[in-house]
Amino acid sequence: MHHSANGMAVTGWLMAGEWRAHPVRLGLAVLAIAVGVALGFAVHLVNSAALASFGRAVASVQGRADVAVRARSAAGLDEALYPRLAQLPEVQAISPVVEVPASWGRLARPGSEAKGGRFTLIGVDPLRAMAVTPGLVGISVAGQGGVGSRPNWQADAVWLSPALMRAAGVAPGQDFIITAAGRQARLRIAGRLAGADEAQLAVIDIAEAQWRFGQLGRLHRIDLKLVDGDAAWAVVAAALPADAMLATPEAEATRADALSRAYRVNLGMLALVALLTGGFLVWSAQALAVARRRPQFALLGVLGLPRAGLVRQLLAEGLVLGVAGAALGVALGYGLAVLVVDRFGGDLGGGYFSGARARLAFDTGAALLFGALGLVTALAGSLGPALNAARAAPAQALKGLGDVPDPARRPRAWPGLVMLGLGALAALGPPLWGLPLLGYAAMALLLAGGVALMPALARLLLAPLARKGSAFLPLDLAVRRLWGVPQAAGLALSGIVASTALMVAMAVMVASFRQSVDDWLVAVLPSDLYLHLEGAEAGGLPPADQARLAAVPGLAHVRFQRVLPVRIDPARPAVALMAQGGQASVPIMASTDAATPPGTARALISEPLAWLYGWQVGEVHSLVIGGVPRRLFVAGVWRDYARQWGAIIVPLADYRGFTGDATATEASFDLAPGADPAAVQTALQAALPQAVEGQAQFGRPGEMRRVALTIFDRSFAVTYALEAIAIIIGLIGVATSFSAQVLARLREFGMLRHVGVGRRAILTMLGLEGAGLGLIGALAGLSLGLVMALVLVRVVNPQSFHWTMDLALPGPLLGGLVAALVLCAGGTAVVAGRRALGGRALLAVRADW
Amino acid sequence: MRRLLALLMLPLLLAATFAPVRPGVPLRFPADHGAHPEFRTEWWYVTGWLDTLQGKRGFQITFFRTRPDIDTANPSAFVPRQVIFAHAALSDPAAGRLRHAAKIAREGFGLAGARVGDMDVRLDDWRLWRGRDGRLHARVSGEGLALDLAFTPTQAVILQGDAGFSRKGPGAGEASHYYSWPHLAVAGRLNGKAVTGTAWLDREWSSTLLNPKAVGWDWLGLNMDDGSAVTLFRVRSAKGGALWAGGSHRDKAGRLTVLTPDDVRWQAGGWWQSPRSKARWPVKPVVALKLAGQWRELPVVPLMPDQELDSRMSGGPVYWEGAVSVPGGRGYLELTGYASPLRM
Repeated sequence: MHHSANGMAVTGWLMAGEWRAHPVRLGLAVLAIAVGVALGFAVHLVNSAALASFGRAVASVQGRADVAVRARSAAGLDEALYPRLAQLPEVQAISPVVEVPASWGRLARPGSEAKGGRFTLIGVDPLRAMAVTPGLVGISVAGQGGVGSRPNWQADAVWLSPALMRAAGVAPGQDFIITAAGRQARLRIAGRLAGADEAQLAVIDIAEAQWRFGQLGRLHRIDLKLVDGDAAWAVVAAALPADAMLATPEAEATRADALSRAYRVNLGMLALVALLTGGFLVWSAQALAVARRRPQFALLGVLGLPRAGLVRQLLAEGLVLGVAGAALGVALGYGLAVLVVDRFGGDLGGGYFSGARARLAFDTGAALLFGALGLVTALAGSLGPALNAARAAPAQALKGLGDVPDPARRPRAWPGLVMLGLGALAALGPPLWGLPLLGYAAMALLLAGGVALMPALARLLLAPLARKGSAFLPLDLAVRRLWGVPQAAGLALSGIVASTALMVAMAVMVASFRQSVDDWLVAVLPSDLYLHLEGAEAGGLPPADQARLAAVPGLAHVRFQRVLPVRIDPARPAVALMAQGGQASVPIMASTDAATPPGTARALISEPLAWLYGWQVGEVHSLVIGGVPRRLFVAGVWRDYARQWGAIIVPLADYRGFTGDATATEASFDLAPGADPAAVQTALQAALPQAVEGQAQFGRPGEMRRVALTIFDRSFAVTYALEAIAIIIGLIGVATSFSAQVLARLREFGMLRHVGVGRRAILTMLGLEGAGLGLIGALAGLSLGLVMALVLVRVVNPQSFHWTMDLALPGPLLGGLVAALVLCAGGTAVVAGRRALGGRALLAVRADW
Repeated sequence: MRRLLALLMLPLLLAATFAPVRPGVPLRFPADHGAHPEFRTEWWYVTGWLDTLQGKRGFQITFFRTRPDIDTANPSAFVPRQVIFAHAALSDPAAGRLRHAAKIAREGFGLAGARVGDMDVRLDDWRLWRGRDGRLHARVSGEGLALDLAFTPTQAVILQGDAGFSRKGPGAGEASHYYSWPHLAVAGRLNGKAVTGTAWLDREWSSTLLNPKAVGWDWLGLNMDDGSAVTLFRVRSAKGGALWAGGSHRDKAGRLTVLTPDDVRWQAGGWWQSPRSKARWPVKPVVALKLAGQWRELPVVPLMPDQELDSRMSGGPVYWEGAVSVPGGRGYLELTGYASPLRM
């Protein structure tokens, strides 16, 4: 008891003394841990908030039915399915639903001033919905009269969700103009939908929805209440036609989760990288502290503090650092999450959950988890230096001999090589649970292996220089020192290598992605002018309007396209079916010249679709178009960065033959030579029917490319920020490890001064040592980073997002990075040396003997 | 001036036109057992007493057809050109309150509808129809309530009012086509157990039923033990007095007496207040009818006081519909407009 109380007191004194002496260095270490914890926690909070709100929005639109029969595509289902299902004994209650994407106001591309928005227009029979999805019934039909009374049927009545009312700035009693399926209707807001806060949702009578928005005879969803038991499901599923499928709330939740999972995991990994660098910073700070306090520890050892006590002392310091960092990180992370949700919405600018408003809640479990991660990192960072200090022989250390590495001992290379080999193997692995987990493991192993290999590599690289010697004394001294004790430089080297490698990997990946997206944009935008009808999945321009557009003067060629979402798998987001007229203008990655087999339509599938569904060139697959499974011949695969969940191009003529749907939702226009694009666009705008004016978005390739790349850069903003953090942490690592080196070598410098080496020469030597280390580290980091970039580009990205890209090297950026690192490393070495050599060197030598 | 008038009339012309109720239109059977979709509203109202092993129970099976006031060019099969709704209730003194179920749906898709030509009203798995054997059948089920009953006529129908033209108020068009079928012998199953009993069918259709001043009505139908049948109704004003009253008496020999407003007296006896709706119901009225110059008084006693039915969720009002008895007879009493004024 008495002993341990004393021990505690000693621990406290040592800690307080150390921290009073070096508040900045320790503050930085705490901050680094905090940044890692904060990033991880914030990403988790924001994403769970977004997912939850997305889930709530989906649930509101669904109206919380047990189970729903859904149409596979926006074309809907034959309404005859409704009575067939209603008569099944397993069906307790049933509610037919028309569900159409709709919009209000004027939809515009991001950044424009136009006011408008998308929402889901739902048509229900309130009498049926009451028993299945009461949340979709605007008012109860209650209290409207007596026996045999008539409900108050209001043909133009629409009920809006509170979220839609807020977005559109309207109130009950006002008129509300709805555009959907190429038609427009002015309805009167009869009231608020009580049960649907999150969703952008409007409800009208099903008969009105069918008639006013061109859906006669069609349903898009049939909500069901079933008797208990799985058998009921099977009966309903067996009764469904090809263009319908059973969608459970679970499948919808899976789909919502799938939407952003890869993106979330990616961000989580980036947060982990930040945390790791934080751990590295703790390590370097502690190592420095150990180096400086060696005599202090030795004294304690001689006075009877056991080695285990020393380890405990350093671990306790790490623990305090970790706790401080974790607490600060959780607070920072929560603040960051609040800020991000407020400014960018719940998807961190990723664009996955449009229309859903995130509500942030503090998650204690996650806070503890991420805090613990920070703590573990800090402890792990302290463990190495602690063991190192415990190993030192007290007598030697007390004399201040510092580290006494033996130049004859070669640094071991095999652990690093083994990790590199394992990393390479992991990179070849398949995705696990749809995520590139092995890819991430490969990145970590490569990084760790590269860092571990550094001392051996440094010796190997410097061997020729060391053998040759140099006439310039400082250089000769620097080279020999680096060659002789590369382990000593390991600290500084590993910092430089790790941060350079991460930075290079991310920079190369982003550059490759950006270049590929840019090339792709050029390839998919060959025409002079484009028209896109936003929110027109349920139907676009009828043929008469298409003809009017095509007749606008100044046009050389017009191609129309009908795009509609089609579900292949209930648990996956819909794929885009693109019925295109004329020759498809997409960058083909693989194709076959084989003739289209009879009875099939020629289809081009996008790369993500090929990846997600395993379709391959030359195969024939079945897809429900127009209510019947059609056979599609996969004639080629094209690169697509726009539709992460897959797209299929089929000839417009085939699509029209299958469905009888002759509308178009997009058009591309080639101008006649000499035609003025602005004038043609104005004429086209005038030729559009009034009903779709609010949905029509014209674009020219240059401006569309610019907008796309701006969005690209914005969504990589988080990555850029993390890159900057990695660099800063790397440089701090360089500075601290040089300080440690210089301190540990005070007597060496004293000796050098003693034998007549000038102070200036010693500083030059230190500068050269630093620059040399910087160079070795930067070059090694560069090579390691390129390998890791390859893993990111070839493994992690395709497995996360199901698309590939061409490797592009940002040469100037990489060159600048190497130069900056060399300069910084040399500069820090000199600064550290100058501070250490402030007259104490001679004193140190004297003290030694 | 005429043009202006026509313009003013336009909204009215666009609204659906309902068939008027006219005197002198003879009722024809079985066609008039079936639906009359051109009228605004119509009902098939079966009430009665059942003998079970546990004792006497009252039951009510009601189907309504109503034609919403819309006239649209919309060709959608979902347009609510007719709406069918139905209630079923069981009066069980052991439970102390009604067990009831309700359904409502727009006509169409073969799921809900009322047949023209003979009695056959369907609403999902609920159905009331006249079989080839001339018997009526009803099948309804809800939570804790499954009725599968057959009704065998033992007497002819009663054409109420003037040969089925029944005035409901002082105003010109305030009338309905109305016939009743008393003393129906019941056999069937209640919640799977065999039951027998006696029932009453009320059939009424109209487009303009109630006087604007009316707030509700009271109705009573009694199967007397001697084979005679009593029908009484009155339409109440806000002050509580009768705007109109009527009914009929058919004696055991089949002689029919049609009752005028002056032949019916209706006095509140005991009241019961609902703990749910807070409405006060005169559940023990003392009614009297004048037959051959003689007043005959009938004190009405309910099977149990709480026979209130809240049908607001399926488009109806809060009303009281209960099994009652009088000395020498049993039947059903209906009270409406006590929770809030009734609008039709």
